[in-house]
Amino acid sequence: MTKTISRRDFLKLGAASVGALAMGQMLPPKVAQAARAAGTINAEGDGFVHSMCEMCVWRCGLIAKVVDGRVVKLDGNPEHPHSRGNLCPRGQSGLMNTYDPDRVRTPLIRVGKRGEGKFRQASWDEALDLVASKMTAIKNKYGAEAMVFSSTHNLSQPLFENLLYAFGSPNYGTQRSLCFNAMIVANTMTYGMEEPARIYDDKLKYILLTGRNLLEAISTSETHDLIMAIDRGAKVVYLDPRYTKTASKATEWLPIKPGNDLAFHLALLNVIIGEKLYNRSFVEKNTIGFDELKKEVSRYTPEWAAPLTGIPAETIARIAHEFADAAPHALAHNGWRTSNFVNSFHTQRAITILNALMGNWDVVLTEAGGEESGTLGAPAQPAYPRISALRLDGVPWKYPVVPFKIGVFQELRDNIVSGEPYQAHGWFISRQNPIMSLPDRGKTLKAFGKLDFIVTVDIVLNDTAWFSDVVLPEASYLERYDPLMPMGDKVFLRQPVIEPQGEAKSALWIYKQLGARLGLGDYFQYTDEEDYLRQQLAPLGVSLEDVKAKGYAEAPETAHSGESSEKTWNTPSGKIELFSDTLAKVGFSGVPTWDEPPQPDEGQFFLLTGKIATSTQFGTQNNQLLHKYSEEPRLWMNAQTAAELGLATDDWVEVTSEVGQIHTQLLATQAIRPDCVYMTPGYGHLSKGLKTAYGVGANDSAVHVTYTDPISGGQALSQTFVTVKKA
Amino acid sequence: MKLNLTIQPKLRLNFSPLVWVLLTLMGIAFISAMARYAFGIGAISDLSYSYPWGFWISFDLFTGVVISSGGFLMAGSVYILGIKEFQPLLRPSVLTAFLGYIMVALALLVGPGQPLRIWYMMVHSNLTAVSL
Amino acid sequence: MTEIKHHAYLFDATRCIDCRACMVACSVENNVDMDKTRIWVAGVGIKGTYPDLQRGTMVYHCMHCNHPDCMSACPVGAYTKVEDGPVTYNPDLCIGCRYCMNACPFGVPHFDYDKGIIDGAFIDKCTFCPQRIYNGQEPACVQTCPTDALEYGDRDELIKKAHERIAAHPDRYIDHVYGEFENGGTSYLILSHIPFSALGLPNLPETPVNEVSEKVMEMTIPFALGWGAVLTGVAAGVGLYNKKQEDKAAIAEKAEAVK
Repeated sequence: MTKTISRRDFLKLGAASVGALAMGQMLPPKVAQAARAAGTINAEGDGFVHSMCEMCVWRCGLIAKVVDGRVVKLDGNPEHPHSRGNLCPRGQSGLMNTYDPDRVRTPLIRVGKRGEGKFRQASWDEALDLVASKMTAIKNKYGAEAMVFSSTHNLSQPLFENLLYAFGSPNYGTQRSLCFNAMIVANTMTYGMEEPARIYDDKLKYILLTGRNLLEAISTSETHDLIMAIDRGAKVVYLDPRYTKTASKATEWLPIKPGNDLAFHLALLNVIIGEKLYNRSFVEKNTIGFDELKKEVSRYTPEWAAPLTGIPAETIARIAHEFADAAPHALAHNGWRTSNFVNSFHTQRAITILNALMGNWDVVLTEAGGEESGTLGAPAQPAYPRISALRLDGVPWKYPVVPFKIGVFQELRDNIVSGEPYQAHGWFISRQNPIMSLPDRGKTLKAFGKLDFIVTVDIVLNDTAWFSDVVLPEASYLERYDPLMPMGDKVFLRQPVIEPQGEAKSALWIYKQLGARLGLGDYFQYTDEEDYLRQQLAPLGVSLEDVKAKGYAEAPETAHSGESSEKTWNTPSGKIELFSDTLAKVGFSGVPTWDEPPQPDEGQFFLLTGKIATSTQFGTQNNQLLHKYSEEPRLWMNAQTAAELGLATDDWVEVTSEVGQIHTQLLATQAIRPDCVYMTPGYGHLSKGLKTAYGVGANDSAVHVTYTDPISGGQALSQTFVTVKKA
Repeated sequence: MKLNLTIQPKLRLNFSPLVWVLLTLMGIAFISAMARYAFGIGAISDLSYSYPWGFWISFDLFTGVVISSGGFLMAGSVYILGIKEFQPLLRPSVLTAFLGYIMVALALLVGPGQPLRIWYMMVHSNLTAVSL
Repeated sequence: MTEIKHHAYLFDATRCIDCRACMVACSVENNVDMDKTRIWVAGVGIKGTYPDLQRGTMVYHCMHCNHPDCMSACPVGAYTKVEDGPVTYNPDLCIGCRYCMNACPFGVPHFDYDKGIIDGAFIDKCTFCPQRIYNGQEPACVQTCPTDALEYGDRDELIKKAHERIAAHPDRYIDHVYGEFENGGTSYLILSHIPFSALGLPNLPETPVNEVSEKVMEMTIPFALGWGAVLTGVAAGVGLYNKKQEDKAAIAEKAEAVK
């Protein structure tokens, strides 16, 4: 199938509104007072401001060009290690998020029924007083634990955690169990750290990617690194049931059967251990548990893995040899969103162990800098109150090895519905969209129905805000300060480029104001955002004005542990744990072990999702610039399979799972396995407050079934099976 | 019989049916031209990036110019080659040619994006342009 | 950075991931209308049958040809080829005749089909970001490209770089830098791993078409004047001949009358 996009129909797919880019033409321009004061913007409202992007979690440094008080262009900051002067399409479109005509400009209080979208505007005082009084009422009547707090991890997270722990609730939801729990817990068990940093240097010869569609799920600097590695001639082996753009650039694409990445990696370990291809001295010096591992993987031969994965045994064996030959300049990439199957945890353990066996520590992997640098200051605050209530998300009483900071978000939602071990009554959501991000949208809406009070902090009326009782408008990332971000030997600043639209405020301000009204003012001992930042900078001896000019300050790097030979890891044994006693103690397998994934029945398909370059999860579909250049979201199906079912491209189809049903249009393509279908996530919004996004595409979370991995708490997003028929 | 010179003739639009058809077509064309001025040429024609000229140019300009070629030949025959026998045919053919060119000129008021700037071709001429 | 004598782009199709950052950046930098784009995607898309698949993408905008066809065709001279590379367009002269759209072998200029007489319907195309390149910056598309598929610099240096890259990986690239000589040379040079025609690029000769057309057009006025002179001569000759015939006839008549 040839699909040439001629310019003729190129924009027919994307154009939502005809006419000039409505960039800030509706609203009077107000350049950031802070930037004026710092001298980065002159009296006419022209200048350049250094800040950081927030269109995804990579947080590239950017330089915003301001003309006449308006942001007119964003360029990557060459000195920021995550951007190196480049910005991906989402980063470039960021000013359209700020100038989105659908921005929430004042606090909103619901007047109609939930989901009607009828709100009235209110002042900050009224809204905050209402929120505080409702939260306090819930605390007094049902206990602080009846108030659930959730936020997608961002730079203001420490203050959010302040709010929830000071309030006394243990119920903390983050997006992580929908994303990389498997990877984090596996790395923690093996190396004692959440995620090592990867080193792409000139010598890197071999990269094994399990999923991680880096050329579409763009992390600017790492995407650049991968392309440069390919350019230099490195071999890239890429496992994915779809022929993504990464597949098209990889040296070898293996269309692996979903759920069987584990089989592939166990077979690799089998060959590497069985044929003694591993780095013996490194393993002896730095690891424990080799014998248990060897015993376990001895039965996972390539011949065993071949029918499970759909990859020939010779290929698996060959890749094992190639990887070993290239080691230590060979990288087995963990991936990012590793919440695919219940067995994903063991896949992650196998990948991590593969790296450890080849001794590539400090060659392709190294300790990453922490997100909270030890050298930054922080305002003083009292100790948190003791919390005795159980967490609704089952940590640790159902999920003994999931870290507290990560939790199991889908379990939290499930127990709001079930009311076990107790019923939650309120939910405070900040910068998060659980209605779209959690699997099984119907169940999330049911959870909303069980709650007395829901308050959301967001910049537009995303679906979750649409169904809330109070919406508090946050300032977009171009309009606010956030706590400093340490990266390597620098700390980077996010500062306002323009004043917020309407009455939007930064999270730092919102949390403090709310905290004060809840009697928790002692936990927010800063007068304003700049005061907070000054307190952070105090140990570095740098003034905030200097940081504003450059966008960063130099800071001593978090100490690394030294050479491999004397290295210790933050595990119970102090070594790399090929066998994890921690896991064994709670009844899980201490080594990676085979866990057969479920199979779709006859006539069912694996439902896959995956990122695209022109959107980020669920928050950017209303951005007019991205909408202009995005392909229309479709259901991908293998062309042969579609023909057999009598379906063709552009047909409307009904996609049904055991929890929901959606209607969408089909794209018959060669680029996917015959037993899979694919949907682009993040479309099918319910909120009519998103005028560009409403009515576009279909919603994947409406059909996703909730499956949780008992070890890492990760959601198994690819384990949903669907039927597809003509609508 | 004496002629009655004071009778006022009644005004009758005694057009033949064909003239009415042509008048209707002119009316539709006029409305289309107004639509073009309001909404752009994409609103009244199927021109696109791949077909910037298409049927519009071939019909409008080429038919107009082609009709006029008859007038050139007639005038050439009569005045240059001096063939006086064609003199009676001269007037109608030159009139047709003139109308042909009027049609081209009218098309040039509707087709280009900036018809009011059509005189730029005289003043800011690019002498090597094929369109000259 | 070394001084740039002739601004040019180098696009490497093996690095392009079709992320469209360049298009968003261009739209923002140049305030392009929402229903238009100055950069677009061309290419093979996905070819083959599962699981033996191939993909090729290319993005391009105005090629900034050394002998621009658009400049040659424009009846009012709205296009200019600046000495150091960019082909600029002057909207104050444009009459919207769309001749340049016909002339451009790459289909670059695009037109406001939806603008009436008040807004004015103009051509739009890549301008080479003069507000950036003359201030020491790279064009918006180049600066943002996350994979360095788009690069910018002096034309001769980029051609050298391109050939070096082909030499370093001869099995990866087609041994040709598109734009080095095509149509007299362009300022948007392309390296590719699949045939250029598969990317949608026309197979153009080294001599630009407009060199031929301009040679012919140069003769227009002399031809017109010459032909006018010829016809005047013919008319005069025929007239004289007829007059002679008439005089002869008149004399013959008179002779008849006298008899």
